[in-house]
Amino acid sequence: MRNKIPQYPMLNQKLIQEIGIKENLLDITYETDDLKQSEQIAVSDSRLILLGEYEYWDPHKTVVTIERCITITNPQKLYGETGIIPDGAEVGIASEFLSSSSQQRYIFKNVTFLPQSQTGPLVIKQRLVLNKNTYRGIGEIVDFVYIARKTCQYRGRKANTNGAVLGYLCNPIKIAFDGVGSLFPALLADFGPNGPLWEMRFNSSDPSTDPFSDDYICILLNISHRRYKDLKITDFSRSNAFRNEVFSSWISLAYFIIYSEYREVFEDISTGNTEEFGKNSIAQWLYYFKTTFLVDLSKPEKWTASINTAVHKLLV
Amino acid sequence: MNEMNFGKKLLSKDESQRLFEQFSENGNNLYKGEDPILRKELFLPLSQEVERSKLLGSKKEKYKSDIFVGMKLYELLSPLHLSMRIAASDDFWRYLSIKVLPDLVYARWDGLKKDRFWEKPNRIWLRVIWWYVHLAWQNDAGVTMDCLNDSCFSTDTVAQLVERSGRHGYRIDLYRCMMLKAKENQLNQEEFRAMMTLNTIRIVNIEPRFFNGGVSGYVDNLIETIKNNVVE
Repeated sequence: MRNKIPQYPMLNQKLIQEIGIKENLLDITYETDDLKQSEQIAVSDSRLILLGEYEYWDPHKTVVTIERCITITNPQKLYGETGIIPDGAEVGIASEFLSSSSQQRYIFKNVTFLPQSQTGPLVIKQRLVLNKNTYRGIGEIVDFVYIARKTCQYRGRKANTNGAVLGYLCNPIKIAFDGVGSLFPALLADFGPNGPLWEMRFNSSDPSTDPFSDDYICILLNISHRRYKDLKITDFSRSNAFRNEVFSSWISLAYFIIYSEYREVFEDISTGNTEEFGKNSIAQWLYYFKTTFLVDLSKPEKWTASINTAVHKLLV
Repeated sequence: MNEMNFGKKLLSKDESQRLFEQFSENGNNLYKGEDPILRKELFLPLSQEVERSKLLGSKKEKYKSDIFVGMKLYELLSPLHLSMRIAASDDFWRYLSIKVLPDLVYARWDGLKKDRFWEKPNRIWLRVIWWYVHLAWQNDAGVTMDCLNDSCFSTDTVAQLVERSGRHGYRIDLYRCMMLKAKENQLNQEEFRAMMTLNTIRIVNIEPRFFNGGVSGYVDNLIETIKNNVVE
């Protein structure tokens, strides 16, 4: 998202509720030279699509098509006294694909309308084709509202410049191109200022098959805690001993849960017997982490030190 | 350039650091014989220009040399052969700098400058000059070279363009248009810098593709504002 000082009324939560936005399930089609496979998925709270969860995903071979439908129930409310568009101006809603890790951004869908021409709900059908061998890291789909054609008569304080961006309709949908291992399952939570800084969430009944994603395992970071600012997960570029300590404690705890509750899985991680591990499963991630960063699992007391060293290496 | 599997030609930051620390300060034997096929394709055409640039003194001359090397590199590793997925990978540029062409980077920067080899992605020299040409590309090598050779561009422009990737990736169509129109409108270096600064401010609120006249109209408006010294 952009940081900006609003010079004119922008979309806010209240207006977004008034105009009413519904998102349908996403249709994702994976296509290679040999096969075509479709999935229908609901976007979870994290609004993250992990392409690596699908066995037929290969960034070098697979073309992914994402189809999505957004319905705006009362688009007319963008106009009028409480709206953000001057009467007579044409409004546009554009969908953009952004990826700083792939150094690419482009608009793939754009609809415009005038208040008099849009009496009922507005249905926007999107189709985003992501070609093979083109993207890496993380991409995002964002939908923003802008002035498509200004009105000549207006002299008020609402934006009235062609191309003026008025805000985003929903939180971005993120697409991870490079497997689940590249993402740390962290979610923000509000436990209040006196609550813990972080908590472990572990919902897995079978860590050898359940995916390493925030539905099954994650660290919840308390945004109301006074030290939360020191954990900002968007700021991994700088060294931060406190943050490293928190994340290494969390990973140590993950190993401890597996050790105490799923001893067989733990033994398999320790010995490298990974045949039964599902692709991108919790167990596979812990095994990957152990082997990549040489975590010493021989004794529980040795975990913390070796994991701390590993996290420091990973996050700096 | 023959079809090559660039997807495997990657070097992590840690590994780059480790290998870089083994380089001798005097620049002897930096190339250890790795990937001779790729080296053969790249080294000779690029080294002639780098050798020439060592004799040059001024920043302007260094810039001219950089764009010649950049154009040659872009020709050899054109997007026809090098996928955008790889071109956007810092690890690929580290591989090229540390394993394939370390002596070339050393010669251009007259020493072991870790920023230019591996440390800061936006300063890795081979990555910077490739992306600089890509961001200025006008669909034709001759037109692009003509554009980059304009007097309004300098080593400062390289930094202005490549290091301003923004949080969401390059606006390639906008940058290409700015470069072309800067030349057409005969901006000087100061005016070009002012245009980039004004764009940084405006783009927070305006989407250039939906401005009057699209990206082209947006850039015309930036230039008009700069030329008239008028800020709306």
